[in-house]
Amino acid sequence: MSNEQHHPEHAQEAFLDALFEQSPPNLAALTRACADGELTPEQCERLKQLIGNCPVTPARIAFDEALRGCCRRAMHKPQCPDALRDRIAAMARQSGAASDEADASEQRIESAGAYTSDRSFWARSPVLSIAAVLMLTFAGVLIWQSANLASAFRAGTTLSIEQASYSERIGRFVLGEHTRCCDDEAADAKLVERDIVQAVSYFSEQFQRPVQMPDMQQGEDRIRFYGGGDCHVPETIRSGHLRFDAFDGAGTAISLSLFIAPDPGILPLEEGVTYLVGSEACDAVGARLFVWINNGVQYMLVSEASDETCASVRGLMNAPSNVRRI
Amino acid sequence: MEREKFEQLALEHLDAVYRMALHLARRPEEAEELVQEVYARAFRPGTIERFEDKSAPDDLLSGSGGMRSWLFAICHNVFYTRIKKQSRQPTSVESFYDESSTESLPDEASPVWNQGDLNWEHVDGRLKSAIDDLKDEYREVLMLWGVDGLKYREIAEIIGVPIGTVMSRLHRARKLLADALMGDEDIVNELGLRFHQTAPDGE
Repeated sequence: MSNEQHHPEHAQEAFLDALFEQSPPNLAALTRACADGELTPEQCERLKQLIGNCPVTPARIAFDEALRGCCRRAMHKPQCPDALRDRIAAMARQSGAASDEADASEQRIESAGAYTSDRSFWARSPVLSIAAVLMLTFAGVLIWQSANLASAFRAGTTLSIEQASYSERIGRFVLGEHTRCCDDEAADAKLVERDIVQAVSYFSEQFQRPVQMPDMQQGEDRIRFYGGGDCHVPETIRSGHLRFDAFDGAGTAISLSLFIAPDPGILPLEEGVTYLVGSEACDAVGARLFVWINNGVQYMLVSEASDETCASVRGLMNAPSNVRRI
Repeated sequence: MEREKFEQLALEHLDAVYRMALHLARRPEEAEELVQEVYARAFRPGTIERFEDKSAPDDLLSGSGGMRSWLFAICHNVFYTRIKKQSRQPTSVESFYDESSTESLPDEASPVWNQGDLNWEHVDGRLKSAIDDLKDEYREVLMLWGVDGLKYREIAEIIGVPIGTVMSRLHRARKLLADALMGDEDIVNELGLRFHQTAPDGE
């Protein structure tokens, strides 16, 4: 980093002084800086002496000022949409609540520590002290066991703000593309690969990882491959979009979109688990977003199908049967 | 700074951050994602602890030199980091990341126009279109200077370039706008704009 960035005010003054020292002085740049209120009073005075009674300088300054006002009017209009404002305010509340909770626990620990660190507390009764040590050991074992149990059987995973923001972005993106490509015309333009074997081969090569697809022969009465093509899932370099048409018990077809990409590692996902990712965009239209990882490839399934049909399709896609909410 | 106060101050600049995001990304959906990312970063606990308000004590709300500039810097960095990641940056963006790059400051005077009959209200539509046509780096500097009223040194800190580069980009942006406004003879006649022939600058 340059000195200029360490001491910007002094650096600016020195830079403008240097414009005076040029031969001839850069009066055009200095005049604009003066009009913009960037010169020190001493520099303004020095400039006045150099310019003297130049007849056009006031007109130049007036033009720049008018242009600035015009830019302000032309560029000032856009305002943050209410929905975005609400989301940001919710993020602030969420992070505030998490921080308050952390502060409160810290205070509880500190106050307990102040009390128990008093020597008289332990000196009062050696028996009580031994009992306390035993109880603490027992409590520690219980906490350790419950933590293991929780990680094995937990029903949901809490996301950081950044992860929550990312999952919202993903939700909006995949839902938007899914909805757009439910229309056959749009799908035909984007999902140009119509052979599932070719699509698997193409994406495996692109990702340099094996991509798994449903066994179409096994599930031909339940699911049909429509097509696949390149996509631009946020935060991924390469990704794909595959559309399937699933059939419910009555034979009604409903489109599903499977997005695949090398796992960018932003969401805390474990292999062997299918995550039902919360997304306001998906919730708003009754769609659900299931995400799982297999061999370093992230699979994102957008579905508006019924629970039964969706579970059946996930089974065909080799998605893990253990489902957690995230 | 206390978290509650920090969040309140950050939210007061939401419109300004959205405006900057929109001018950078150009598309509302991308701008919304950008703003969300900016605030997600800003609200991280470690970030709040590190934040240092450099605004003048009597000018906390404007955020000049403080919260607003800081949020703008995050917005700028997130946007150009994304562009880099997606490997679709325009050639001109390369110079943003090259610390040794400096743009020469032209010794070129601003236009001088007879403004006797000038009606700036009528110019706004044409100006908007000219602003949209500017290269990203010119439009960004123009917005920070013209709309948000930031000083050269603040703009330099936000976008990470020397002050001379800010002055140079600002001059070029203004000149391009002036040229666009004056390029059409009909507009010149309609608005009563007339060029004054002047002596070369610096003499």
